Amino acid sequence: MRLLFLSVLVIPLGLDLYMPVPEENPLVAERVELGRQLFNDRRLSRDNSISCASCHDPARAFSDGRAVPTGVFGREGRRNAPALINRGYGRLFFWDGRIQTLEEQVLKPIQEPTEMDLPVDEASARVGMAASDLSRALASYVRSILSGDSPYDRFINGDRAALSVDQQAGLQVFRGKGNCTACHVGPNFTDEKLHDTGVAWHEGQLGDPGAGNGRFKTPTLREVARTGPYMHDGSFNTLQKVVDFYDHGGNGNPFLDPELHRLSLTDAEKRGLLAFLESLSGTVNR
Amino acid sequence: MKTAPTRHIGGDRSSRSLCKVPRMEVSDMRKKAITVMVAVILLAGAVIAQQKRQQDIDLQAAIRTETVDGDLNAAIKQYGAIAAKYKMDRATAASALVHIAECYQKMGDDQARKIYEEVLRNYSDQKDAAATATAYLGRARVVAPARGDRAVWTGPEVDLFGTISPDGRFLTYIDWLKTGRLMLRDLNNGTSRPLTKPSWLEPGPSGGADYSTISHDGSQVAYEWWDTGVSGDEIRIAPLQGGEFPPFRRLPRHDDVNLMAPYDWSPDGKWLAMFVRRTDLTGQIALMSTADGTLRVLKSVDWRGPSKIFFSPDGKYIAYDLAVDETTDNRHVFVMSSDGSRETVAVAHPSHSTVMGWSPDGRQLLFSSDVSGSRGLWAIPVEDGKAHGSASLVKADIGSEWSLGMTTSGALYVWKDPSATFVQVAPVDLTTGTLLAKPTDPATGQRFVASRGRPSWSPDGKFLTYTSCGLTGGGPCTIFVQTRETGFVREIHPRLSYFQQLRWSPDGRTLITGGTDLKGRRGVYLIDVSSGETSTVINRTDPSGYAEFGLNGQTILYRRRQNGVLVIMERDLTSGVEREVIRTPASGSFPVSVSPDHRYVASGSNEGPTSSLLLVPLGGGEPRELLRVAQPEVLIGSTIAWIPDGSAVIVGKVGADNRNELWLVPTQAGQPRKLAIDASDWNLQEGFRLRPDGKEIAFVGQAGKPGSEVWALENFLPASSAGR
Repeated sequence: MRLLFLSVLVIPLGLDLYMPVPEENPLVAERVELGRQLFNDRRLSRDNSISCASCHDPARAFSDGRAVPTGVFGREGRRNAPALINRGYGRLFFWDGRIQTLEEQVLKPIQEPTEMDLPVDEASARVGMAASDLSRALASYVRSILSGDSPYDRFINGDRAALSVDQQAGLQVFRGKGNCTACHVGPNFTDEKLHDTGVAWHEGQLGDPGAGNGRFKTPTLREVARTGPYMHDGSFNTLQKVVDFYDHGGNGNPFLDPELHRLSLTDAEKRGLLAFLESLSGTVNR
Repeated sequence: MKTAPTRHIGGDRSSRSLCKVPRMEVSDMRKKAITVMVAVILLAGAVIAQQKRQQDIDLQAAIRTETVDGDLNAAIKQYGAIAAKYKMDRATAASALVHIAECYQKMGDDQARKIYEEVLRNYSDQKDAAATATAYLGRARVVAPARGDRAVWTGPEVDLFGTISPDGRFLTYIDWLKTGRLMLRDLNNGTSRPLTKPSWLEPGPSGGADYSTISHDGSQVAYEWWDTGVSGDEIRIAPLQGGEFPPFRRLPRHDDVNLMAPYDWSPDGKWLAMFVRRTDLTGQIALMSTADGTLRVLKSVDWRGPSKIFFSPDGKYIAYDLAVDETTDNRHVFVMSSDGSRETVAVAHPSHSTVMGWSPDGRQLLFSSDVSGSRGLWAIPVEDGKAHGSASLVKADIGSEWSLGMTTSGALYVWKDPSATFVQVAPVDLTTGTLLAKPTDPATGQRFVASRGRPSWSPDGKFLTYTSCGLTGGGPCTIFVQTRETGFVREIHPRLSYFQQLRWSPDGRTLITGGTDLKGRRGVYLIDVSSGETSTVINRTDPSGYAEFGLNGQTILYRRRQNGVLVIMERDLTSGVEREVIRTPASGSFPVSVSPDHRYVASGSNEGPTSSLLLVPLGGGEPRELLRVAQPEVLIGSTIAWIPDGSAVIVGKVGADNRNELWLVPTQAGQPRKLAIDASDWNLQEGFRLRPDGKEIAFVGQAGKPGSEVWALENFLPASSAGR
């Protein structure tokens, strides 16, 4: 474990010590704690029924275990609730990458009709603080949610016993034949870029356009074993299905990312890959 | 290169003109809405026209104040007001700033320089303003003339991987030519001694050092060490004083890396600033403890990493540069707290900026940049780890973007390659071994694109390709395709970061190369000659390269390194089935060169004291050695050119007198003979190729002496920032 600059956060093994934090919202312990309280505050939803934590459950690595979330009045969301871990290192936010700062992102679900459906000024009034303070506190708390120190992290930092033989074989597939590192790369296993893998295409027709032509942001793979269902629409309920999808080369369409192609993985290679993905579950600081 | 699909808005554009409402029934409300919209647009146009008229009036008034009334201070205020008022009009704002600078120039005020620098920094897209600023700044507003600058070491041994000692006396470097060892050069007496042994160029179990850095107290050197056949790297630390091969201390090996480059020591000697590249090609800026090798990863970055990292003199910060994105080599300069708590952008010009070092007092951060049109040395004040004020050009035209470090006296040592390469073509007589006419440059009349090399002929001899990899030579690379008959040249920009030799497919439609893609993955790639579209044939992280088409374009041959051994592989493009053609000792850089009848491969091997040329039958059978030379002679492995009838190959050699030679080596019978062609000013590393009919040869000439240089730059810091 390593200490971050103000002793506000403990950076787990495997993550960068440097986290970009805007000058206008430095990480302060009190603000992080305030953000944690607001994250669990149901007053931020129109019917006082849900909080951020309802769809980003700390016990599920800040995901919710559903294909798409359920908002106020039982309204169903459109896209899977992503795992809110290590987002302090993020460069794009939401599945379509339309927002570039956490401070802006944290207020959007509050306003979204299918999620918390509450205008920001009303949300501010309910919790008794300005919108900017609400934004800064929530963003600070989200920055504090970190996952690292996984068996994988220990392995690449010298503990050769941290991964099983199967997991080590899976790591080789992940970096080699599986071509996973084409997009799932870096300490957070995401290039933070937008790709069309074909998930949004069905029989030649585009459903959710995402950022355009069915492109969506690469999600992190940290804690992936416990943050299903998968993909932007939660359409894959197991990792096996995800692996099979990529083994098939994704779903063909005119804008398919050129990194995708048929992999022809053997059953043993798929098993190893799945075992490796499980090794990315570590310690979640929250 | 992919082009965006053409999109057509449905319907004829004229039918969508707002002045012609489509002939359909519309509601009264829609009619009113359209009327209002038209009125708004007309009003907006009138407003814009009025604003433009007022801009002109304001500008003319300021010019009158400047030139007629002669009141420069008042004119400056007026121009300043114009720049502020019309800041959304970038052309007007830039023009106003230029006028301000001109006023200061007339007043002899150095403020003019700062204004011009601001123009370049913020309005580089405004061509007229930028050109004026560039012209002014290019007239060498330097602190002192260049008399303090001197070349301290020149020649083919000079290398860019080391650093200077704090007293400016010693320089570490790698002896790439002979031994591959890490060496220490004494710049006072011109002698060198080895710090490491053995190396990858020498017989026996081997490894090598690449990057090295001398501690701030001049007592130790830290260097990267890799062992052949062992994954990962380790850092070794050795005392600088003493004789050859000083005893070293190992820090724990990291085997999930394929590069660990130590760039600088912390002033207290406790940390090394490193660039680490993991086996998944993640790059990291990190600090390594010199006590126990603990790695503190500060930031994950692009796989190319920084060109250098330097600790500030107080050890509180590190400065480095990073590529802006994967498609260009433009770089910005950053400062980070050495505890990883904060990063600031120090320099963000739309240019290639590289960090060069800190002034001895830590108040100035030095960087090189080509923002002014040529590569100059700039300084930006830094306070509390943040840029504090604007950058100033302290030395124009330094001809280098590669720092070897600062001394305590404030001298900056840089690596320079003053030579330029250019492709030449000449008619040749292989019987006499002579050129029949003076060589010509196929790029004559073409805009200058820095050094060019690696020529390659199309199978029909009608086209010649050559490449240029930017001012730094590090990519991205451009391919030029010349139609020989007309001289017309077009460019191809493959989506690759770097590549080596190009070879044409037998049908003349595709080029094949070994290279590195935009994500840092090495492999073998195909490039469509017409579109530049790039596709992957083999994408693996182990080094690959020197690919060539085989039989009728259905197979390829390429070279890869496996467990320290160089292997030539053949791959069927349709089935993907591969077979090993030959293994060679893992040293040298020989390509694979397929005979015209596709029955043989000529390749080579560099085994340290000797280098050899081999002929390998593709259909099976034992390889045959065609030529072997012993040091000090060495075969240059970059090119092996077959003559059209396949009876011989031409290979380059450095003779005992250190001069380049071309040799014709028969593949069946006869003795090798030296050609009479004077290749003394050829850059053999960049290759040469015979036209398929054998009547012309394309080669790479070199302007300037071969080798590179180390320069000491002095007397450029303000007196307050200069060292002792």
